[in-house]
Amino acid sequence: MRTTGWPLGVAALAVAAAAVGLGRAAPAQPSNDAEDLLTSARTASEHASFAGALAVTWRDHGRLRHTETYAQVEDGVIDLGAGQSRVLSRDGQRWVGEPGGWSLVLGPDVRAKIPPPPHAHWDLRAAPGPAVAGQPTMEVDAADPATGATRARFYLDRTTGTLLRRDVLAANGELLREVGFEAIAPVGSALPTPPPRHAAHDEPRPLTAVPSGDPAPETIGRGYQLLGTYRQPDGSVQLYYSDGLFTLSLFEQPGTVDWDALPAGDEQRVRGVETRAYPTPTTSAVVWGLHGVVITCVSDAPPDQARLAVQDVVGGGAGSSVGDDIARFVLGPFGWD
Amino acid sequence: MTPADLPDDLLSAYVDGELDADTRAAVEDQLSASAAWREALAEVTAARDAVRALPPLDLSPEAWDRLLGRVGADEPARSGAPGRVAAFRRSIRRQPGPWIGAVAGAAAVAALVAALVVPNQQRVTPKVATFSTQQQARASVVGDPVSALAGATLTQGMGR
Repeated sequence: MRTTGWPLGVAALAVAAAAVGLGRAAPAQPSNDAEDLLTSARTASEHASFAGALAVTWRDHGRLRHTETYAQVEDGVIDLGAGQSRVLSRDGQRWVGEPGGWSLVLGPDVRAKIPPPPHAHWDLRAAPGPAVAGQPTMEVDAADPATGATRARFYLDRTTGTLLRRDVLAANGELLREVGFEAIAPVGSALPTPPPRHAAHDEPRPLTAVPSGDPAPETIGRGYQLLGTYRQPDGSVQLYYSDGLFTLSLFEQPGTVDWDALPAGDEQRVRGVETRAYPTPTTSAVVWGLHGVVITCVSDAPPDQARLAVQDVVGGGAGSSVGDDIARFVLGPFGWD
Repeated sequence: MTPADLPDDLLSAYVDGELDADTRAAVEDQLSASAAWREALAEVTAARDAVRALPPLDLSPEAWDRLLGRVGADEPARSGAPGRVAAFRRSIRRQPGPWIGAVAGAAAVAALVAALVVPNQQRVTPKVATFSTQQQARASVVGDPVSALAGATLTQGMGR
């Protein structure tokens, strides 16, 4: 999105929006239109150029916390953050760190499976939305088909299709997380941030075969499908899942949880198994141990949805089929020992 | 062929279960037939285990508590805005909004870090911050990259 003449354009759009009553209740679009909007948003940044202030809000023990970061998007290169906490994205690669101290944390994975379509597990509705960062939007709501409750809202720039804000909601409608632009502007004539010439290689390696020969669970929770398996630089194994709208990873390590060394968190027993949960700005994490394997589940889904996947993995504790599969996966003869 | 001449990368991939079936079968044939290969395999396995047993750097529970104490909820630290954001705002000549600065974010990020390391091979402290960064980086491939990576700027770099 080259937003040359942006202030004038926004003013014109605002006048136009007011003239036609945008932002008021309007008939929802068919679900497949909503899906098209979400699909387009995933690649919109490849053709966009703008900079903006990005606000991040999340709920932690009932209280909303806020912070802000910087984002610059130029022709497919995304540069986020500041100081030593930069993230750089280009094609299938992701670097973190800072100039002179980059670490490559993600490389292309041509073998990764395609995620299911969002409508496979969510009811999608599209309608004109409110202005976000001064831009008129289309709003896509994703509702749980079982309850009808909206669990996510996406606000997309009507002109470019760029995602300007994403909300994740609790079952009762309470805001859990929000990532959205507060202001955007043309990036000017600056060149895209070049990819680092030198970077530490900390990217996980795709696993071509399950170490133990036993299958990792292909599906967990309510429709999370396994897209790929990876070995992290520290030796842990990542199982990566998606339900088409949200994603979830299980990180598995042999051993038992050192609870005393972990920070305090939300402790809860899931089907008799001790777990400890931590909210992060844009994800939730749950740690537990089972069958000699320490498992950390990290997900951008609403925590209650991620918990369903955790319950599935924990199963009935010792003897559960999914839990046994994971234990064999991690502890199998070609896995760890 | 001595153990020093043997293909450590191949054996490492074998130990990690990352060979295709044919290659793995070939390696196993060699292991069955050659004491030198078995010796090399033992060295590769021992080296890998030694690396995994290295003590990690991380915050102690006490440091974690101190960081958590610094995190303010509902009370933005206006003066702590990240430099790039502040510069951006100046560039578009807007007054700063009621947004919180880096203090809360940095402290929350640091809080995630406590999750590190493995005192020994049996007791594990998952690296929650690093895992969160990895999850978000991977999610950015199949989803909207900007919103997925925004969280990574807050969690990356804090875990080993």
